[in-house]
Amino acid sequence: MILQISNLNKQYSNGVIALSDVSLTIGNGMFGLLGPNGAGKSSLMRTLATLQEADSGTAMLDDIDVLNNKEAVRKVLGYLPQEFGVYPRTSAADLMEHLALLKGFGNRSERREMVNNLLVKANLWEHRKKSVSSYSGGMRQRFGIAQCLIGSPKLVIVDEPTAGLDPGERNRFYNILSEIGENIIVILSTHIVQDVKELCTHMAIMDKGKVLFHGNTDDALEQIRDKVWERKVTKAELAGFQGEYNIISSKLVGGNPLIHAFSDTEPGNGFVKAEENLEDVFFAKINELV
Amino acid sequence: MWKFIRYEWKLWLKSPMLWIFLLINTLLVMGAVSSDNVTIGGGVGSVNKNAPYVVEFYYGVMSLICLLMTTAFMNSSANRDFTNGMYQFIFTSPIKKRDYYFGKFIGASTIAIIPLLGVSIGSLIGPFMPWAQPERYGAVVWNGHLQGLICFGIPNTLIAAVLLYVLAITFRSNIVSFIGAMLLLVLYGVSAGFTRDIEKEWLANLLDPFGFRPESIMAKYMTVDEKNAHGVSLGGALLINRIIWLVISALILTLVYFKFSFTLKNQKIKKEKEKKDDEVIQTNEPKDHAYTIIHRFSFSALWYLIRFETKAIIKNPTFIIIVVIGLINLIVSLTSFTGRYGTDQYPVTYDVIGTIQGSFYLFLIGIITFYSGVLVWKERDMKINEIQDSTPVQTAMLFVSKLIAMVFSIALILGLTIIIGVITQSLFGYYRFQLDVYIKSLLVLDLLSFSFLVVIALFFHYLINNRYIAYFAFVAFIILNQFIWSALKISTNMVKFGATPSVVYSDMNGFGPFVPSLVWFNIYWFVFSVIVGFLIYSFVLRGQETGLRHRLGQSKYILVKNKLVIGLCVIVFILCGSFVYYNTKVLNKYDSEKELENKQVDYEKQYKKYEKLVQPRFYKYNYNIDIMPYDRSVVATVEAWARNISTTPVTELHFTLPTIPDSVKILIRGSKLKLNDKRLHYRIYTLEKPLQLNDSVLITFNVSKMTRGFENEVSFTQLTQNGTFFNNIDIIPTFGYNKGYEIGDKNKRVKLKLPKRLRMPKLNENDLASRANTYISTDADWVEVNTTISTTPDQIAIAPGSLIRSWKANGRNYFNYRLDQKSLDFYSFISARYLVARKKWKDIDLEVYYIKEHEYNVPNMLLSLEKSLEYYTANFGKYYHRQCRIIEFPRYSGFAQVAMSPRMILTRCFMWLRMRWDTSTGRTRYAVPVCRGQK
Repeated sequence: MILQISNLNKQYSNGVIALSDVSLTIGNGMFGLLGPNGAGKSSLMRTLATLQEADSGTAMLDDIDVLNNKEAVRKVLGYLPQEFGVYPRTSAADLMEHLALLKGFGNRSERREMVNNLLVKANLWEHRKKSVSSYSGGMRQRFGIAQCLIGSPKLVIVDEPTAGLDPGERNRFYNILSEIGENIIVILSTHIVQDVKELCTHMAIMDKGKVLFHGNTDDALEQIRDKVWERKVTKAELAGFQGEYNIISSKLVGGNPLIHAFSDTEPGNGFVKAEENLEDVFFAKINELV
Repeated sequence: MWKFIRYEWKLWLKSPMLWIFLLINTLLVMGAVSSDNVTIGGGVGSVNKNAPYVVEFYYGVMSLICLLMTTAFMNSSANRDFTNGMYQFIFTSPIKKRDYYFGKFIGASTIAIIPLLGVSIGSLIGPFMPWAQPERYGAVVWNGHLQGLICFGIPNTLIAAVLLYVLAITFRSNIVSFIGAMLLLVLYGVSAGFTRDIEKEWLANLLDPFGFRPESIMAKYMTVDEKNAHGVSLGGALLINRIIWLVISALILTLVYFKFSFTLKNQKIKKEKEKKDDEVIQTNEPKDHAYTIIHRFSFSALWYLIRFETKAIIKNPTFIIIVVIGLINLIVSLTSFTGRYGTDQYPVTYDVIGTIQGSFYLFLIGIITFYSGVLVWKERDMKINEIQDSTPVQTAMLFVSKLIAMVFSIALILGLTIIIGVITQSLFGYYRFQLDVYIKSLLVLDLLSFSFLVVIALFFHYLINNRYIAYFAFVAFIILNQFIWSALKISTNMVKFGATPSVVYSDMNGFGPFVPSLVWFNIYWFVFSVIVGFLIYSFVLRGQETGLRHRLGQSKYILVKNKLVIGLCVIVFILCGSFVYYNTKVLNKYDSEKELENKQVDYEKQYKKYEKLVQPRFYKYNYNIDIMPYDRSVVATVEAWARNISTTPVTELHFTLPTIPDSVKILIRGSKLKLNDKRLHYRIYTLEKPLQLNDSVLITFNVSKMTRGFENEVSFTQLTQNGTFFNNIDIIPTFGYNKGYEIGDKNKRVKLKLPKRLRMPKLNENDLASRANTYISTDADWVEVNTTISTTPDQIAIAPGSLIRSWKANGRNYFNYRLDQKSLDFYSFISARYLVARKKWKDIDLEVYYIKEHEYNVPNMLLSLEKSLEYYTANFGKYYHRQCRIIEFPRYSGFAQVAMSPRMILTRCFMWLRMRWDTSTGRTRYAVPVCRGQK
């Protein structure tokens, strides 16, 4: 399956431009959508999940017109929103069954069987009778992915699924995701570079509604090959360096800033070549250096 | 503390809510003070409309109405820091608990008093409205305003404020506060039950948190002048009540103060029992075969969704609490289920139903108002909407399941009330449970009208897409729908949303005459609701696009897509509407209240001049009446003889026609019709030969009333399937001008610029004109009556006098009755499926006509008749008639006719359903009055 997004635009009534001429081609496999908060990732995903209209542009899932034939999309869609809640006093199994029914599974015993399978897959089997509202964050996200997979969807959209999860839970979540992401389209949005690095072969970087980069992760790294340099500085020196170099990131290592600078040539002054990573691509793109 | 008070004040004084509330109250009171069309807690009668008593009374009533406003203030103030998420900052800052707790309370509760001042403002400006009538007002008495504030306004606001504040700050839940407000109302309702019993008045005085009961008990015996001069002063039971409730409130406030703490409540962590999972995981390997997916409509899925939504409603603790409070209120009403004047009465089903409707329906309307909103917003509240909206489920299914679930839940509650009703009946030892009546009244008729309300409530929520505005719109709609149509002088049920004709169930006649119009109006509104349903469906929000343009586009798209079904519904609606219109407006005509009033005024203006005109007086009648009870029709030929008993010759005969028959023919030999006023039902015939003293004339009336189709409101319940009951003046014309048609209400007369009139002529022995008539009639004295009356073969027809003979002919029952003694000219004709109990006392026939279901007291009635006749003939004088009858008729009228010709006509409860009867004497506190014969 191919999801072809062309020239998508969206402006909210308060004037914020959420999507600006977004064009992407997404094939089967995991696709990472990277961008800072407010980049338009959720707007794009909501639009693909039939929850929002676009002002102009098209999106085609093979031959399904995503923007106009919502019902057809919904039949092959699994969606995990950024934030979701559950009915109180409703157990995971009951809620799954309810959602399965909404997805059109009319046969009761089949529905049961499928729900049970998914609960097992999401490692929630032993907690299936507990109310979902009592779940911990990680369990809740696993429940989210389980409900997402009801009915073997062709297009799975997960919006910032790992926010607030501890590393262990994050890994568990990744495992489930990567299992399903082989034959269908899985779009994963995140502002955590690590997620994309570990899971995705293809990715896009968005900021302020625009797509800054679109391709596979190797291409992304290729763009900054031999152009990122790092150096430890003191806090007092930081401001000076920031004025002098194209600093794309600075993080604290052992209490002192470790800065990454972007430069086509070796900047000298104590900078050494850094091993390029997606985070640098991300920051370089956002700071419009490449 | 001061800074908290000032903070609250500043915030509230700037908030529009406060001023909107004040405006609402001002308008309400101004309306009530300046016009009779607006009433608050009942009319004020002949007291000045701005009398101090009235102002104080309004303060009382409004403090009750303002309860919800107080809830809003207290709740919002108490919870503000939590809803805004500010509490963590505030609780960790160095402020004193005392200042925070009491500061907020004082600030908010003083603000809550402000809207009440609308009572004073409204009653001060009301008299200056252009439509106000100056003579209804006295001077402004400030004392009334002051008393109102001191006795009701301030204490009631404080009492309610304490409870609501304490609940809000402890539970931090809107719902609990809402329930608290309901609880106060329930207490008020419970205290109402005790005012009926004079020995329990003291309890009512104490229980009412609003101080309303002691006030009304204290004002019970105040005269109009007293009420105009001063209000009920703070003293006696009222003072005690106020003190008790204020002290209780102060105690609660302090007690909760000590429990209140800045540290957050420990969130309860439920320790779920570790259950060993015995179930074996069926399979770890996903099956290969594809699952059946149904993307079409399926009943099983809909049914599942309905169950899911219904469970969500009825398992909600708030819902349960509201229902329980409602049920408590209902049970209280049912246990104090006593008849009039302290006698016990059988709890017949329709009475229990009446109690259910009276004491529980307010809660149901509250539930509809509140829960229709909760249901619509449930997914968004739970934030599961995005997941749900992106599933392929049909939008229509989501909406329909919610609608049906709401109706379903109401049906469940009503079912519960039926069970409680039945239990109550059996506890009273009464076992004739009419389940069909319960079901028809509550689960069909009332459920339908509640469903219409649900549809409208959902309509507002889906259309407006803002919960609070939708709540407001719904409540405003209900209120407007209640009175706007009568204010606009439109009285058809076809425009008042969900309106159906009012119905009275009677044991004798079931739903009788009301059935056809009920059926059709319900169909009419049902189809209308279906159309509204489609409209709602087109506006159901799916996804995040809330822009108006998008929603209108979507709505148009859906409407166009379903145009066939919608078109069909609209056609059915138009057909149904035309049929209803044809029946209520073409086949049957009715006057709006205003038109009726105009007619009365015109009648008086045009024909009052004939009031003193000399007319002959009836002295003999021959009635020939055919009653078709099941068609609700009657045909009668009446020969009436009249005689001129004055020395003035009569040249013209004037008639005021009865309004009920649709055809009245008057035949007088040697006369010419001079005037026929069809609108005001007045006719004048000129006689070729004037009637001299003692000349008689025979007048033949041919009257008929054919019931055609159905009416907007059943207007003539006298003609009905089982229990036809009409008077002579209902069917035959009377001579001359009939003062009885004039507008009687003193204030209305002033408004319509009609001259003042006396209720009764002044006592004056020289006023021969007034003395010439009995209280019964102005055109007859003692009359002879001979009646041949026929009815269907299963019924007995009754007319005044002795039954001379009865026979069967043409498949009908015929009866001939004749008065043995002349009687006053007022009597009735009756037909129903009666059972008759007879007894002879001396040579007088004692007869009781009753229905099987009401046989309880029949022997006692006979005994009572006997004993009474014994006593009265011995002590007062002779009984002239040969019969003494007690006849039951349906409860459409609450009256009894006693001593009109030899019989007593009694509607149900006076005697039929009383439980205790002193059998030793056959008399109770009100023994059967016995007919007075001719002297």
